[in-house]
Amino acid sequence: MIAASGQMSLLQLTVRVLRSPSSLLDGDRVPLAALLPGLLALVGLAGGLFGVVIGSYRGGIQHLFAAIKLPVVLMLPLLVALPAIRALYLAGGVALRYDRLAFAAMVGVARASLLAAAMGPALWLLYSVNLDYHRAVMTMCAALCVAGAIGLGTMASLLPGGGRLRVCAHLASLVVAGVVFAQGGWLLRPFLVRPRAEISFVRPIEADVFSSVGAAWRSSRGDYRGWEAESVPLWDRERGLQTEPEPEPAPQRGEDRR
Amino acid sequence: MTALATFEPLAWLLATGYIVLGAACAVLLARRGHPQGVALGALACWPLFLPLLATHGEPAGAGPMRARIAAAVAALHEAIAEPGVEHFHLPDDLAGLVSDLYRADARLGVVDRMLASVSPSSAPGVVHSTALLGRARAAAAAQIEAVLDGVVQLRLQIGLRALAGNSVPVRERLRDLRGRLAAIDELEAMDLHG
Repeated sequence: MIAASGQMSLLQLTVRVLRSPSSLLDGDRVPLAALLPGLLALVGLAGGLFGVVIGSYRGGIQHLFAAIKLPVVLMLPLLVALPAIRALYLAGGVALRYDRLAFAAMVGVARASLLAAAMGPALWLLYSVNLDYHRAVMTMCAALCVAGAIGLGTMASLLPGGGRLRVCAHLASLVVAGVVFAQGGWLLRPFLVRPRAEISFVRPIEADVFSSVGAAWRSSRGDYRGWEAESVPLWDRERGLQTEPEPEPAPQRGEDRR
Repeated sequence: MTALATFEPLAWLLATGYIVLGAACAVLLARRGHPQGVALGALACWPLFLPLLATHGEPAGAGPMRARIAAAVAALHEAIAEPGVEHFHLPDDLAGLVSDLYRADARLGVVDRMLASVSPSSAPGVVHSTALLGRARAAAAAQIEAVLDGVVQLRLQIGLRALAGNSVPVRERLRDLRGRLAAIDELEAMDLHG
């Protein structure tokens, strides 16, 4: 077994993250140096495993691409938004040290990754029975939402108590982390590749996750205009205008053309 | 078909900046004595490892009382951070005391490993040496315990200052405590040669 720290193996760390994450705290002391490498390894392995399952929808090299990208997407909110989240908690009256927040967030993400990996076999089974593309996307999102909600709950439970506006700080942090996660996922897409589409590690930058959600919302109401217009990048207009729109793939493997 | 990704110049710039900062963080952590795993993790995820830049890594071969020492020192620092004693400054001697404590603890660890590695033997020489080492170890552990008790007393005295505004002879107290630790060497030498 790979050693997670001087005293704890990766398997022991997995058990404690899943069963009693608060036992990882040493009183008020945060053993960051002892735990962070092991927790990062857990996110890499479990997130990568979930990525392999997601990549199996398209198969081939997408197994590897998704396995590399998924842990990165899971880690992005921590790497980008942690100072902002700490500022929100301090504003909410929670006396929160940066090391305690980093520990709580890392344990939360590790737990979410492990749970997502645990859902992998069920998702794999679903993807192997000709699930159509949109349903496959929705299933992946649902799995990530369930794991993410549990991870966020774990993180909140590991933060120190007190704070007059604690609930507001939780909600604001959820929004900040959610926005970073969504945009990070958008930038690093595709994870599930349509059956006939070209596989790429990442797609060219086009608009952002919010304009995409808006376009999806309009198309769900029967208004299909605007996909090409929306795909013009906000900060690289010239290249965006040169970008060829992606050809619509032929329906295959239960894919519909809604 | 597999397409290669194209990145914007700004993305390259940001990625390069992130990697450079990560490398700097990793080098600093390695110089502060943190393990290689920490330095490698910082290379990829340095924002998470920033709090460790303010700390030193655990000494190699840490002894059995390392956690207690760390807790006692952390509690002392927290006492200083309490409202009412914010103008109180710990002297630099504290860092010396802490490193002396860790060094003494590491020696305990060495003795523990030695004692554990010696297979039971009925040879009189081995029995005598083992008993001697055991006695020296117990004496050294008692001295460390006494110093830790002294640190707790110091913390309480700081609390007294917050309450009554008394002056606290911290420097003298730390000198006493370091004297106790220095006594471990003499004590071990006496025991081993006695």
